[in-house]
Amino acid sequence: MIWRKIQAIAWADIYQALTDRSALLFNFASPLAISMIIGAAFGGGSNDVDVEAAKVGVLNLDTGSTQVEQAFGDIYTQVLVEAPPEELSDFIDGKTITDEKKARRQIGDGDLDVLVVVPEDFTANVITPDKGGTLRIYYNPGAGIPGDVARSIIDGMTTQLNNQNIALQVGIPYASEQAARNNQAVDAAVAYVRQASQQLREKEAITLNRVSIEGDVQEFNSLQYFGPGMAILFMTYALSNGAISILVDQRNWTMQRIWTTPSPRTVYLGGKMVGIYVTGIFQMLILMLAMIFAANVVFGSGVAVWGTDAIGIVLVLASVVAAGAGFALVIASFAKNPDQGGSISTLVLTISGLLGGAFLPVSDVPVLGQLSMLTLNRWGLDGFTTLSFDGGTVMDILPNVAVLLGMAVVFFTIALFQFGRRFRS
Amino acid sequence: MATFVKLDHLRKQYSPPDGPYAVGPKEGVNLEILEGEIFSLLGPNGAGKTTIISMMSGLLTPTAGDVVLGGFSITKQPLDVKKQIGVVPQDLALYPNLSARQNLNLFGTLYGLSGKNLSKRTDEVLEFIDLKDRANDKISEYSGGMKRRVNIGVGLMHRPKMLFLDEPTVAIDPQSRRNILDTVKELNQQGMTVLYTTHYMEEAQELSNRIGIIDHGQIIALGTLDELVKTVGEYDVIRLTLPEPPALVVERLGAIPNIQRAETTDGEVRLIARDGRQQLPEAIRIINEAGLALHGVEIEEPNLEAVFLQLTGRALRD
Repeated sequence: MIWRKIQAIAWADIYQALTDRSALLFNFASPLAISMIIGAAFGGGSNDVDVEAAKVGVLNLDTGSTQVEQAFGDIYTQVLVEAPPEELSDFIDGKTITDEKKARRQIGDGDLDVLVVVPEDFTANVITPDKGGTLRIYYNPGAGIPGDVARSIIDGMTTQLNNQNIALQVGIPYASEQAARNNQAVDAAVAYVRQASQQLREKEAITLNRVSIEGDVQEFNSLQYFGPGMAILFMTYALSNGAISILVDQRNWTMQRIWTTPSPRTVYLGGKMVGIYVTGIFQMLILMLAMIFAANVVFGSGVAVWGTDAIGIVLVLASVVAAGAGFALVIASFAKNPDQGGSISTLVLTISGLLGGAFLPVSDVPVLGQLSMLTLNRWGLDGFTTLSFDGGTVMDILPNVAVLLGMAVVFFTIALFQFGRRFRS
Repeated sequence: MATFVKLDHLRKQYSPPDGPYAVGPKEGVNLEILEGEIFSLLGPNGAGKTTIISMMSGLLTPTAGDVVLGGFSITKQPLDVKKQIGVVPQDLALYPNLSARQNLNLFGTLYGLSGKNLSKRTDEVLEFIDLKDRANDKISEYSGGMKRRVNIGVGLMHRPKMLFLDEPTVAIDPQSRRNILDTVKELNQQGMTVLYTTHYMEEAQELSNRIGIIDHGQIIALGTLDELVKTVGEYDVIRLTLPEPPALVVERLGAIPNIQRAETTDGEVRLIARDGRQQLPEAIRIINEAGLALHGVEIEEPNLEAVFLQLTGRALRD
């Protein structure tokens, strides 16, 4: 019976929140519009916000071939480790690897972004026209942009080798050898080079065998940052409306009237809390779906804006809404009346959003970066971005979930104490 | 009739920032309301009517004393008391963005109704308050009178034995007021005990079996209408419409033999007089001598206004 009463109060709150047109416009349309504007400003797809150099390891086991002057594996070592071209030096932090197993573990731990393994018979296979060599590329999808950049560079190198160098490197020594043996055979050798080149164009001599250590390759989209930032900010606004409705109920005497029914007073606060929480979850879910739609249909980027780890997403969602509900209740519990509650909430929640990185990343900004750790926005945003463009899993976001739930417990305790004091008769 | 409610030395002491002031004398308010009667608490704004109703309905915890209602103590068995009462607050305690039906369903659930009982009772109440046709419209789209009817309907959802109505006719049109008064009478005829607070003398006179007059947190008179009026004796109230009368003139009017008291209120002078018609010529003579323009004269038979005026020296509307 108690639970039915709590449900009834919660339902009344949720119904009113979801049928208030102006609130709907503010709570749903605004964050979506702002996120899309910011997304469009950043190109709606990949961008260069992160220029940190990728940590690339090269394990070169290539023994080369007598038919070519240089083992092809050495080219990768030179370009990626020993003497990267100037235009790539900012993006690549390469090192030579000797222990493949250890290097693969390093990728899992995030100490290495990409590992290039050049097998022993690589050159020999490459120069055999009907065979072809295979490079193994191990990478950490959580490496984000640096990892993507490194893989792009390796792709580019391989394409260049495929298109330009290999045919010549295969053909010229072979032709020279044949010519030395038999001057009459020059024509035949030239014909062979042509044939070999043609075959190499039709079937690439080098293929890349990419192995993701932790999952699929992720593409970055600016909505992955600003979407959660805006969604959390506007979720807190919506929750503050719910919390302030307690003050409105007090002013309109609906709260007192509920207290005259044969129901413990905790039923009212319980109903309000459930209503506020469910409204927050509902709002976040709608925004999450809308932003997925925006990223995929409007911008056509095909990225998982919120990541692909469903359990992780649910945990961050549940904990950030809990912390938001608690925070909104704390603010309302100290306000004298609904008007004051509205003004204070807007101010405090906007500052919290700013500090928490809703509008611009602040994690690397001195002082602000530390202050942002005090906000639920930062922990929630970090949780979602860890799952999305960092490719994190449940284990990666557990600290965020723990901090957010801790915040929720503290906020709810303060709010209950303060409301209890306030409503003591 | 048996006693249904007993206020036993009930008192509420307010501390800062709301106080300091108290509702109830030091020894507290003692009062009995009989089963099946309409009992009115009549007093000016701020007299303590709402505080008493709030303590009786479990909203406020008494500083001292207790309320026993239907055999249950409000301080010890509040939920048992609340099952027996319906409360109609002075404010429109409704959710304006919900419909009448949704409001009734919500409060019906909080009163413990569910399923078919809830929907059946909601329909009955909508029928009773004559809003079945508009049941699904939002409260915010209703007129003031319709909102008041829903406000009463909510208090009836669980078929309470007793209904508390706290100034239910404040700020509504005469037709809606008439409707509410008739509703209260009808509920009483069905056997419901009613506690009705008002500062309108006419409403208390029309509705009540017994009346308690309350001022400054104390019940200063208690009885039936006849009993209360008798305490004034055969005094009439003479109302002289006399803008800004000099204090000396009011003093001279009060000194006329058989005039017990003279008060000025809202552009008129009120004289409480034994056999008012006999004293009127002398009063007019004094006014003429003072060179004042008399705009109107009215003589009222003894009523609750006179009782209140005699007991407090002030008009109810002060």
